[in-house]
Amino acid sequence: MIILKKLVVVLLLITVMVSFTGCWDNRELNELAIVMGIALDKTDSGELKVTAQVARCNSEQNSSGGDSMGAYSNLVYEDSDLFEIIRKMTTISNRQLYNSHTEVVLFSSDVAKGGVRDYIDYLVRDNEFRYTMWLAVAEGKASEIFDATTYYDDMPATELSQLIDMQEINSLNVRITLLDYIKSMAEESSATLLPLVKIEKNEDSKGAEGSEEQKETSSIKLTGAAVIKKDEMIGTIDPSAVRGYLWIRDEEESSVIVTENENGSADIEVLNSKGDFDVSISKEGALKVKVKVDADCVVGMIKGSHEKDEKKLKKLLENDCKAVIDEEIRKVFDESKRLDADFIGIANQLNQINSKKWNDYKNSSGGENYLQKIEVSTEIKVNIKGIGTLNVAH
Amino acid sequence: MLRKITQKIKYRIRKRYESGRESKSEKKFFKEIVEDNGKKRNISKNINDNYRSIQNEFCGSDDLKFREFLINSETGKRRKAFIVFIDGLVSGKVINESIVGPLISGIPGQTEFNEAESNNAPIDNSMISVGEIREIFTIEDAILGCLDGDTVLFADGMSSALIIGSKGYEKRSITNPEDEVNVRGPKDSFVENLRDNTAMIRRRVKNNNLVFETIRLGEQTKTPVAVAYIDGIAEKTLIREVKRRLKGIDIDGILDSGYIAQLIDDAPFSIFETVGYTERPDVASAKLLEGRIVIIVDGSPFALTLPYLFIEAFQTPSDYYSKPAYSFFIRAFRIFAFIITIMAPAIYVAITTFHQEFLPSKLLITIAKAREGIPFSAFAEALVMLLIFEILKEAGLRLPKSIGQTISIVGALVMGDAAVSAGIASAPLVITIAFAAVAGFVVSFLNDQVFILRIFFLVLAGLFGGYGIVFGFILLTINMVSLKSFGRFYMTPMMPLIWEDLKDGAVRAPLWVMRTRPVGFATENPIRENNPIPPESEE
Repeated sequence: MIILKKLVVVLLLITVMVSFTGCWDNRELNELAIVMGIALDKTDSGELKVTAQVARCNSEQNSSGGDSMGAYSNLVYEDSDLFEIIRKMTTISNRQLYNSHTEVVLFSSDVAKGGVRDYIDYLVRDNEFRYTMWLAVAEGKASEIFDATTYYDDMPATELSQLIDMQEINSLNVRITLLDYIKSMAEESSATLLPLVKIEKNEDSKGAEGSEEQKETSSIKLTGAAVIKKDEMIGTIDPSAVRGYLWIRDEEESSVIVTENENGSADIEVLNSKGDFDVSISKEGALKVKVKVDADCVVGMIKGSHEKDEKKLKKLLENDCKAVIDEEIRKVFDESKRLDADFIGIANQLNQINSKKWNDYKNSSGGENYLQKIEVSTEIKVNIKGIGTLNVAH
Repeated sequence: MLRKITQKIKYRIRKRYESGRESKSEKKFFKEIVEDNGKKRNISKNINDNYRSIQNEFCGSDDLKFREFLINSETGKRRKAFIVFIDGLVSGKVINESIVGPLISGIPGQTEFNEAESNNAPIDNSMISVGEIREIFTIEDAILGCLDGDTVLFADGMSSALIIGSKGYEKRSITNPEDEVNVRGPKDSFVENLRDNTAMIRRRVKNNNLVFETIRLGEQTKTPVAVAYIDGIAEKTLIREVKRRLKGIDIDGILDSGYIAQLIDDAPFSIFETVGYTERPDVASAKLLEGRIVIIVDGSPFALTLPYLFIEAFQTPSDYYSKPAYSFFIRAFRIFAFIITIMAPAIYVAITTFHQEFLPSKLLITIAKAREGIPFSAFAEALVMLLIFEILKEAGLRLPKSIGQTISIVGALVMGDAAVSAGIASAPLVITIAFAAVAGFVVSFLNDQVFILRIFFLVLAGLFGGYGIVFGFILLTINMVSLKSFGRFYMTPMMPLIWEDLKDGAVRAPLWVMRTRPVGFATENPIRENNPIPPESEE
C-alpha cells in the first residue's frame, strides 16, 4: 500500500515536471526554413547584405503549379552584423531559419577583402552550422550566384556545393571546408586559398525577340582561387597555377595532363598522386624547398604520330609529364612570391619538421621576406602504367 | 508484532526450501498447507442413502443418470446396485457392453451373498471388462468421478464404490496449429483434452523418466492440470517450486492455461511474461528435453512452459529443423525486427521533430514537402495512425473469414491512401507505421508487449526526442534485466553472460555444436550428446 502511494506520487511528479517545462526544442518541420546556402555581400553604404537561400517545401502535386513557385527562395536582409541579420530575418520570414543543413557559405570579394574573421567566428560559435560547409569567394556579387540558373538541381546553393565537391574528380580547384579553414588559421603560414566562383551570363533566346520566353540565363563557374592572407583577401591566382598547389599539398586525385612535343600531344590521366615537400634552411639563410611528387598515370589519348616503340614512347611521355608538373609547381611558387602570401604552407611545414629552427629563422633578419628567396627543387616520379598504340597504316 | 515474526520465519523457511535443504519439521509444515482440508463423507452401506446423497449433491440436474439393476450371482441371489453417470460425457457402448451387461448376466463363482461381505473383488476382477477401475470411499470422490466422465458403481452392503473408466465425450481432433505456423516441422497441435495432449508428448518422448503429475485446480471447476517433466533432467528445486506454486492457487475456476500463467507469475505487474506457452507438442517436447517443465491444462490447447526467458520469444521450432546457414542469420534478424517494430515510429517522430540534423538534406526536404499542410504535429499524427492500426488489427481478429479479406484491404488501402490524399497524414509516416506494424508480426509471441512498448517509446520520443528514447531504453533494459523467472534471470544468456548458452541465443549454432543443455537450467544432466560428430568436410 505504501509502495503504491509512493508510486503514485512519483508519477504525479513526473507528469507535473513534464507539463510545466514543456517540450523544449520541439520544432515541427513546417516551422522551419531550411537554409541551404548563405551569401554575404557588402552594400554601397558599407552594410552587410546577407542572402539566405531557403528550400521551399511545397508539395509538387499542385496542378496549377509549375514554375510559379520555385524550389527555393532567397531571403535578403541588410544590417551591420551577421548574427543580428540572421536573427532579424524573422522580421521578413515567418519561419525560423534552420542552419544545420547549410552547405555553402559564399563571400563576395568585397566582404573577403574586408576580412572574414568575424564571420568565421560566428559560424563556428553557433551550434547549428556544420563544420563541413564549403567556403568560397565570389568574383563580383555573391547574391547573383544564388540566382543563377542551374543545370540539374533545384537550387543554386546545392548546385554550387556539389560543384565544389566535384572538384575531386578533375582536381583543378581547391576545396575548403570550414574546418579546414579553422585549422589553417592555427598554422604558421598565414594564408589559404579559397575557390573562386563567378557567374557567366549566356543569353539564351528561345523564340522570337521581344517575346517573354527570352530570358537571360547565367551559370556558375569555378575559376581559379582567391588568396586569403591573415583573413583578408589580397588577390587571386591564375587557374592554371592551382593545380601546382594541389600537387604539392597532396590533394591531387585524378586529373588530366596535356603534354606536347614535336610529334604531337598526349593526354595523360593521373590516377592518383602523392605529394610531399621538405623545407630546410640553406647556408645563406634562404629556405630550400624540395618537392616530391609521385604520380601514377594512364594514357588517355595520343594525338599525332609518336614513337612506335612502346618502351620509348613510355619514357618520352613520362618525361613530358614530369616537365609539365615541374612547370606547374614552379608557377605556384612564383604566384606565392608575387602576392607575398605563403598559402603553400612552407612556414608551417618547417614548423612541423623542426619547430625550434623555424622560430629562430622567423626571428632572424632573413626571416621576414622568406617568400622572396626560396629555392625550389623538385623530384618528380611519373609512372605510366600500360601503354599501347594504335597501328597507323602508312 | 507476532505477525512480523511469523512472517520472517516463514520467509526464512521458504528460502531454505528453495535452496534445496529441507528438514523434517519443514516437510510437515508444508504438508499441512498442501493437503486438502475439505470435509469428506464416507459411502454408507445402505444403497438408498448413497442414492439420495448423490441426487442431492447434483441439485436435480437433468443430465445425471441413474441405472438401477440387480447383480446376478450363480446362486440366484441378487444384489441391488446402481450406476450413476452424466449423459454426454460417457460412452454408451462401454456402459452397455462392459458394465451393465456382464453384471446383469451374473457373477460366476459366488455361492452365497453375505451381508458382512464388503469385498468387491469378485466383481471387478471377473465381471467388469473395462481397463480402468478404481475403488473409492467418499461421496466427494464419487461425484468427481461422475464429473470426469466415468461411471460410478454402488452396490448394496458395500462401503466403497467403483469408478469405472468410460469417458466418451466429443472432442476436437488434432488439427494444424493456428497461431504458431512454421514452414518446416510437424503440423499437429494440442487439443483441449488433457489425456490427448499428454499422449502427444508421450509419443515424441518415449522415455520412462517422463513424468506427468496431475493436480486439480479451481474451487468450482476442479480442472485437472498435469505437470510434466523428465526426471533426471529437470532440476529438483524447480519441480518443487512449481508444485508449491500450483498448490497455492486458490481461485474459482481455471478456464484456460492463461489463468494459471498469471497466478504463478513471478512479476505480475511487469509487461513481460515469465511463463511461456505453446500450441505445438514438438515445441513442448523440446523444452522438456532442455530441462524445463511443461504444464498442461485440461480444456486449453496451450501448454505452459516454464521457466521462460526473453530469448525464447525469438526461437521458433523451424529454426532447428533448417540448415544452420539460414537459421544463423534469421534468429538475429528477428531480434532486429523486434527492435524496429518498437522504435521505428518513435525514431521517426524524434528525428523529424527534434533532431532534423540527423537526416541528409535531400531526405529532409522530401519529408518536409510531404508534411506541408498537415494540420497535426508529427507526434499526434503518429499516435493516431498507430491507434488506427491497432483498431484494424483487433477488428481483424474477430472478423468472420468471409468478409475478412475485403475489410482488411479496404481498411489498409483506404485509410492509408485516403488519409495521405486528404492531407491528414503524411506518406513517410504511413510507411513507417505500416512497416513497424508488419515487423511486429515477425515475433508473434511478444505481441502484447510490442503494443505497449511502441506507445511507450512514441510518447517518450514525442515529449523528449532522442533523449527520451534513450531514457526509455535504459528504463526498459533495467526492468528486463532485473526480472526473474522461477529463479533464473529473464535475460539469460545475455545477462548473466553464459557463453555456452549463447549458441542458441541471438544466433543458432549448428546442431552438432549444441552439445550441452542450457546451463541455466539443466545442471543435473548437462551433456546432451556424448559424441558429437561434426559434419565431414566434403571430399
